Parts: sequence; C-alpha cells; structure tokens
Amino acid sequence: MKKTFEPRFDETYYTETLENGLKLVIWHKPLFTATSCIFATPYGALDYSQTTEDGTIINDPAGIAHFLEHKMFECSHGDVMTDFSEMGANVNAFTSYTETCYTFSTCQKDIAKPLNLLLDFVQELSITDQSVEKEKGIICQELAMYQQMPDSRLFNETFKALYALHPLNEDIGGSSESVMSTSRTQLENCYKRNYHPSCMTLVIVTPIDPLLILEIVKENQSKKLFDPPVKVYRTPCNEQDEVCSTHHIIEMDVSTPKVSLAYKFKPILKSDKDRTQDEWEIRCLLESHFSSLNPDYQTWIDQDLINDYFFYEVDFGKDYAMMMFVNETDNPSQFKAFIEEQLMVLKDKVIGLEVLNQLKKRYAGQAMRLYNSPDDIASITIKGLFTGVDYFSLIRLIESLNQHTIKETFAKLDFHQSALIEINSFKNC
Amino acid sequence: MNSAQHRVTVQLLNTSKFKDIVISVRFLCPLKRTNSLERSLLSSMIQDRSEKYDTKHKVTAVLDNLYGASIASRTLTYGKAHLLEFRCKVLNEKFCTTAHLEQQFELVHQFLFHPLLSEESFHEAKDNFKDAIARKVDKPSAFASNQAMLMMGKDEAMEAACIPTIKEIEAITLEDVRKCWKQMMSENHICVQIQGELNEDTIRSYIQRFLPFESSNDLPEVEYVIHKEDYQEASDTKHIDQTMLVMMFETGMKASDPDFWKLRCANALFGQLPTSLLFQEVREKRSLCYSIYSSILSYEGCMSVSTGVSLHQLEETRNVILEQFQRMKQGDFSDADFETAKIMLKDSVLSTADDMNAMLNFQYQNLLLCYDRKLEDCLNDIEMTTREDVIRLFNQMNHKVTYILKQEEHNEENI
Repeated sequence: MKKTFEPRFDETYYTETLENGLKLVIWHKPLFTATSCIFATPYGALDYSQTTEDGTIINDPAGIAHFLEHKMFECSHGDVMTDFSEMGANVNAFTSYTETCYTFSTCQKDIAKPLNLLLDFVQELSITDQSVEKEKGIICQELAMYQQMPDSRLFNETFKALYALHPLNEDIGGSSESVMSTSRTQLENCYKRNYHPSCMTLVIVTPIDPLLILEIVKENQSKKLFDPPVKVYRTPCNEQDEVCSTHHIIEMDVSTPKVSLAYKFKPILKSDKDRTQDEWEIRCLLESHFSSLNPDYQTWIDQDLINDYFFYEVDFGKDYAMMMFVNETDNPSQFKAFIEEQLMVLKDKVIGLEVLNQLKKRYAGQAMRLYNSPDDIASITIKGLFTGVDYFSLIRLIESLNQHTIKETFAKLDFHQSALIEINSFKNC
Repeated sequence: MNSAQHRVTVQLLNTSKFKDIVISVRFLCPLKRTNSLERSLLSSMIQDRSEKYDTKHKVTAVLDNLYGASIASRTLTYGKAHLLEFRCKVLNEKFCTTAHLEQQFELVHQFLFHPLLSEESFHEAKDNFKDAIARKVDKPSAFASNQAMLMMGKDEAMEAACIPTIKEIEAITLEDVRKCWKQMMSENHICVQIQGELNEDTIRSYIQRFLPFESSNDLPEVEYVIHKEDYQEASDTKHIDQTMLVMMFETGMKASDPDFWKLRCANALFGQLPTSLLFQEVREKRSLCYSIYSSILSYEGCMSVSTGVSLHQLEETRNVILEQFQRMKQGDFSDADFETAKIMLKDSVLSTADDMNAMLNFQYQNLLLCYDRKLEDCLNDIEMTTREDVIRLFNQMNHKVTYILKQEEHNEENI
C-alpha cells in the first residue's frame, strides 16, 4: 500500500489496487470519530447507451443507472438498508451524470461489518420482475418531486434546449416513460457491464488503522470470483453544433420568473488535465467579472439587471462544453442583452493580477476547508479519480494559472450558439 | 468549557480536529413578529457591508486575502425566542504563510460594531428578502410546511416564525432596523463561541479587546408546548406535479424534559429513519412516495410528518400514516426495529463531534436549556429508553393538523 503525505494540507492517504483491479484509497483521520466510505463506479446517467469492444451498441432506457442504484439495495432476504441500520451505519447512494456512488458512514468502532456489507451488496445484484415493477412507482414520485422544483426544472430544461442527441438532454432519473419501460433483464445486463471491480473505486476516510482496513477489503475480495470484465464505453453521439431551441418558455405555478441563458460550445478535445485547466481559466475570468470582485457588480444589482439569485455555471465535460447564466427577472430579454454585452467586454479583458492572486488564495483556503469533513474528503477523492485530476493537483493547477492564457482560452470560445430558457408563471403566460 | 465574562457567555470549543477557527456571536431575544422581520433585514445587512468595508468589493477582497474566509449571518427561532447569529470562519493560520487570528477578530468587530446601515444596503436587503419569500412560496414542500405551521401555531409564537407577507416587509423602515441593531447590541442575551485549535489566553484577550459588549440580558423564555383544542384540516390547489401532505401532532413535551431523548427514540422508530414504520410501510411496501419523514419540533412540543404523493393515492397514504401512528400507540413494532432505531440515533449523536456546526449548536442548546449535558448523557438517555416509554409517549400525542397542497387533477401525469 502506497502512503502519501501532503504536508501543506497535513493529510495522509494510502492507495492500493487489488488483484481484481479494485482501486482502494484510505484517508487516515485519527482525530475523527466517524468512518465515511464511498464505493463508486464511473457509470452515470450519461451512459445509457454503451458500445462494446466489437462495436455492438446497447441502448438502455434513459435513467437506467439511477434505476439500478435504487434496486441495488434489494438483497435475497429483503432490504440491505435494515442490515446497515442494525449495525448503526447510515447507508445512502446517488447517481450523477457520470457516476453512481454507494456510501455509508458510521461512528461504530467495528468497521468490518458495514464495510463487508457495502462490498457485498454492491457486488451482487438480486432482483425480481416483481420488485422492479414495484420500484417504478417510487422513482416516478421522485421524478415528480424534482419536476415541481423550479430550480432543478430550469437546469433540466436548459440541457434539453442545448442538446439534441447528447444524453445530457435527459434527466438523471430519465422520464416516467423511460422508467416504466425499464426491465429486469436490462438492469441485470447493465450491472454486469459496469460494476466489475476493475472499474470501481473504494474510498474510506477513517480514524481506524489503514492496514486493518486493507486487510478487511482484501479478505472480502479474495473470497469472490468475477467474470472477466466487459469493456464498454459511452456511445459517442454526433451532436449537432446548433442548439435545439433558441428560446423556450416553461409554465409553472410560480410567482418568481426565472431565466437561464446558456451557451453551447464544441467539445474541448484535450487531455483531462488540459480540459480542466481550460474550465478553471474560464471560471476565474467569469468570477472576476460576474461577482463582487468587479466593482460594477453592485451597480448591476442596483439597476435590477441581476438579483441575489444570479449565478453562472461552466462545465467542460469529456464530450460537451457549456456555460450558463441564471437569474430571476421578469425581463428576460434585458438579461440576455446584459450578458451578451458583458461577454463582449470580457473578450478584451485581461484579468487583473491582484484579482487572480486573490482568487488563488480563496480557492486554496476552500480546498483545505473540505478536509474538515470525512464525507467531503470521500466525495472529492472519487471526483478526482473519475475526472482524471485529483484534488491536490487541481489546486496546484489553479495556482499555476496566468492572466494571458486565461485571455487566450476565453478568446477561443465561440458564443454563437445560445438558448434562452424561461420559467414563467401561468398567470403571466 | 463555559464561563461568564462581562455577563456575556463565552464558550470555547478547543479542538485540533478542524482546519478552521470559527467565531460565532449569538444574539437572542423574545420572538415578536415585527421585530423578527427587522432582525432578518439586519442580518442580511450586517453580513453585506460595514463602515470600513463599505462595498461588496472591499468585503470580498478582505475575505479572499484571508484564504477564502467566510462571514455569514442568519436568523432562526428557538421556540419563543429569536436568534441572530453572526459567524466568521477563517483558516487556522498554521496552514497559511501569515498570522491572521487578530485580523479575524477585528473583522468580526467591524461587522458587528460598525455595520453599514445605509439606505442603499437597506433597499437591497429588502429586495433580497422579498425574493427569498417568493422563492419559498414557489417551493411546494416549503409552502405546505409553512401552511401547516400557520394552522398549528395559530396565536402561538410559531405563527410569528412563518413566512411573512410582502406588505409586512414593505412596512419596515431603515430607522426600525437601526433601532433594532442598537437594541440587539445592548438588550439581547449574547453568547460568544470560539471553536478550533485555540490558545485560550490569547482568545480571551481578543474577546475583551474586539467584542466589548456593554451588557448581556438574561436568557429569554425559549421552549413551550403547543396545545390546540380542536383538530383542523385545510387544503389548497396548485398546478404542481405532486400532492404535498403535512400532518402535525402535539407531543406535549418540552426539549428540557427528562424524557426528551426518549421522544427522539420514538420519532426515529416512527418516521425518521429508512427502517422506520413510515418509510417501510408507505414507501417500501406500497410504493406510494419517494420521500416521507417525521420530525420533532423540539422547542414547540410538536411532531410533523411530510410526504409527496400522487393525488389519487392521497387517501391511502393518509390512512397508512395514521395506521402507523396507531401501531406506535399500541406497541405494534418489533424489538429489533426498536433496537435499530436506538443504535442509529446513538450514531447520529456521536457524529455531532465530527461536525463544527453541530458541535456549536449542541453547546448553544445546552445554554438555552440551562444544563451542561455531554454527548455521553444523550447516549445514556437513548440506551435507557424502553418500549414502554415509546408507547407511553405516543399515547400522549394528538393529531391536530392536516394540510394538503393538491396538484390539479388534470396535472396528475405520473403512472
């Protein structure tokens, strides 16, 4: 097991790859009481269409990764949640666009039982046609819950307006139609393709001796036999350059209209590190301009161009790139004109050295602060491993950014493809 | 460790577990509707700017140069009392190249003792407050909870804590907020909490120097128990995708009651956990909902149950919830489920020690309830809870309010 000490953060972690390919990361936090654990696969909502090595395309219903996450909790004798609870451990799971994570946390000193249980339940799928059908009602209620939340609805509708073919145009949980069409066989096949230990990572943040943890994991894995891994990758889509809809209005029973102005860029075909650097360069430039770092920010608030809900988002994924600006306003066209005008200003702007250094200090402090929480440590470790840029490297990368490459990276963005999405009150429509 | 200093309560939570130093200053006074709204505006203005740092730009600069330090102010109610908390979190200087603990205290001093209560910041705070209200009203779960609390808390302090109207906000003047600040600094009960790796002598000298509060009033009355004569039910309809159901019950118990942790055990078994009766019967067995939970309103003597369901399954859901309530009263739950609830509750108590906010709140609640309990005391209370305790406590409860936010029938597109 390889030990790494980060003196600047005063943090120690251990890494090991087991014989079956399972990657293990252990953070030793002797002063903490709780152990926090994540077992994750880089299989998320964007992966519902996959291609095998021989070129066969497997199209599953949208939301299948999330559906599978729900069904993993079923075991031969019922529900694995009860088993965790009996051990005094909180178990949970979540599916994002790019990964599915199973977590537990506990303050119990006997970590072997919940850790073995986590490994066992995620490494065995046991479902029936009947239980799959029963889950559909629960998932549809979950979708309905998000559907009526104005914030999450705006996000989803923005992706739908930008993308015609890319799986970002589907909600993480899919739709009620895709959920209702999901079968047991599809779930089982999807499980076989994406839950092999060689594609999974286990992160444990614990006060317990890391060698003891390694022993528990090794012993657990040594008892199990796995079929050879199936190599699959997300089916590439020939996403069009154009947005699907330049202007879309959604009616909801709300009193506050919301608007999102989103830009679609061509995917940034670079290494993970270089793409991440591009994303952070843009992020720093936007933060320097669209926040209180800019003295004009107060004027924009005073002139009602933005309110305290205003925010922006930049996301440069492996096969997509987008940026969005979100605000509450009953004058969306004014907001659009305002953002467009400011983006023109940014084209000629070089971020000030003082501001850039200020941001570097801020991000370094925020990064360190994440190590206050075992859950956060586990999450950022998984994110770092799956995006190809670990957190310490990310901080070093941010600290290495310079004014001129930021300007160059921004200059390369083509802002011609945009979509304006409004959430409006019925009463105003 | 607690000690009194200039009648201001000081709590030092010395630990090297975390990378931050937190200063939390808590101002508590009796909850009154208009005053609480003025304090909400004050809270927003206090964290936004100060006389020295008179623009957002300057505030951001000073915080960034302290390695992304944060300042935040919030208001909340504790039963009959209203709290305004100002918090400043800065990275421990041992992780930085410069010493800045003194600067952290100076910063807190600036924002609390020299806030910028100007026309501009007042209007901005008002606009933000009105937007926040609208956002809450637009969120079906928050709106439904608020309506249920309005019914349950009619003519009680709880009513004063519900979502205000725009008209109420409009009526507040800058002069009201300025008076409110003066009152807060001189007439509230004040508690200063410092958490992190501390040199206690240095901290005490900084408190004296930078937080020279003239006086601190006695603790106001905090907890009470809501008692409603009659059962009440109401509903509204909105064009939403799910029907929200909120039920409220009287528990008849204060947070300082020796049986309080027994009540927490009973609630864990009834609806707090994934192994609870509500989660298992409503979600797992019948697939009626995605989310269902019960929670104790500790300082008001209430328990609430909230869920979101399809309109056509509303009556079935309601019946199943009430059946589980009856089962609790009759002791119709397994020993295994009861023991599991206790284990999980103990685990959540233990995890408090790993969370900076939770530890600060735990210590503050000790102060509010006038006792000095350790986490171990809570664990012991949980351990001592029996089945009979749970049955007895549920038999003291009464279902008093049901509020339903219905989806329009033609909007029921699920399943």
